[in-house]
Amino acid sequence: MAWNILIVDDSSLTRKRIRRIIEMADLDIGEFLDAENGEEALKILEDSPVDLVLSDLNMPKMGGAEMVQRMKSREATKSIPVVVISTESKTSRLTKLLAEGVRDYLHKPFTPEEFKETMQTLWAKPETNTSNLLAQALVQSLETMALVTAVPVDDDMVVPEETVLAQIDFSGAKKGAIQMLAGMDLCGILAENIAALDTINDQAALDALKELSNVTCGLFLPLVVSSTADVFDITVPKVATCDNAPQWTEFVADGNTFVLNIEGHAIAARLTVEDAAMTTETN
Amino acid sequence: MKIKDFSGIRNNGSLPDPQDVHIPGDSEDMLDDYVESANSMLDEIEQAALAYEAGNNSKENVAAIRRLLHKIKGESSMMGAAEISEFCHQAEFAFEELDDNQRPDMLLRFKDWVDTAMSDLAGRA
Repeated sequence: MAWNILIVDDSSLTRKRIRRIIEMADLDIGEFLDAENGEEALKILEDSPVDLVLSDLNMPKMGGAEMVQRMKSREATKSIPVVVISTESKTSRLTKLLAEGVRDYLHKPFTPEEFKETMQTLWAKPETNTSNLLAQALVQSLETMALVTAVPVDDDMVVPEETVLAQIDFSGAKKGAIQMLAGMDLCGILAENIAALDTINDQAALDALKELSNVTCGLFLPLVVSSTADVFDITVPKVATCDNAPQWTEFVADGNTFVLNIEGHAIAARLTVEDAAMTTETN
Repeated sequence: MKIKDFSGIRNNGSLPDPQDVHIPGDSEDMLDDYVESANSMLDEIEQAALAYEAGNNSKENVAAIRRLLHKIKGESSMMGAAEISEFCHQAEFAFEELDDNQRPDMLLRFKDWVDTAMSDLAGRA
């Protein structure tokens, strides 16, 4: 299938250069369209069939983040993949955008080979929206069970040095795992709120994260499969303690991972999911 | 390629030679467009800096300056002009670090340096 690509950037030179790089990547590309800002892009999306949006973030009138939000709120545009092209390195802003439905990002400048690699990943991994659903399930668990408020990440958020990891494996129509990573401080708050404990120790903090992971998984799974489909076998969570920030850095490195801010503390969740049918074929 | 040290823009220190900027071969046919676009933005930066010096430190003027520095950085980056992109990056830092009295001089110095680099690149096109 030849893809129609919409390039959104306030610099005509950059749009031209991006187009040139894409042409050099030797992929099956249909028509190129371009827009100077998010507002113009949304108008084009109303009238033209577009298979992929490549967008800058900082643009006058309407930037890339607002454009993505509006695309996701409209039935006709919500499933069109968006790849952000930015001079920013991996920042909390990009992490948030990935959690909100941006499929990937390319750092300026990028080569034809890097573009090709990104497209191949995009084509090989159709959007499932499960990451957003998992985010919703986690927010719901946190707000109802742990009585804390989850807000988007910001620069003031504390990234913990001592982290705890909980993992839930599930199988059935879909097979995969949900992992959650949080600092010991946040786990202490969770333990206090969930179990109303007077004394918080390390074990109580670990148990609270496991409990939260279980509830989140229970809320998430019905969202991604038919309620009549299968019974899911959820294994007993295993817990690993991690003692430094590099683990955290790894955890925020892909589109299926998102980070929430709980009263200044970071909590991250990562989803890996595959179709059981596909697994059977592979086996 | 080793990136040169452009931190001099932040403390009025020395800067690398603007007539020694590298552009990769696959960008050369877009050099005219790049120089033209950069020159137009440099004019805007100069106007904004002079207005700033005359007391216009309004939100709009500050936002316009940030946008121009960012846009020159983006275009330079896409052209593979890593040195100019890095220089813009340092100028963005400098703009945030310096006070109202120092900002206009830094911007004019930035403008002069990129202007010289662009004249040199135009000669190669």
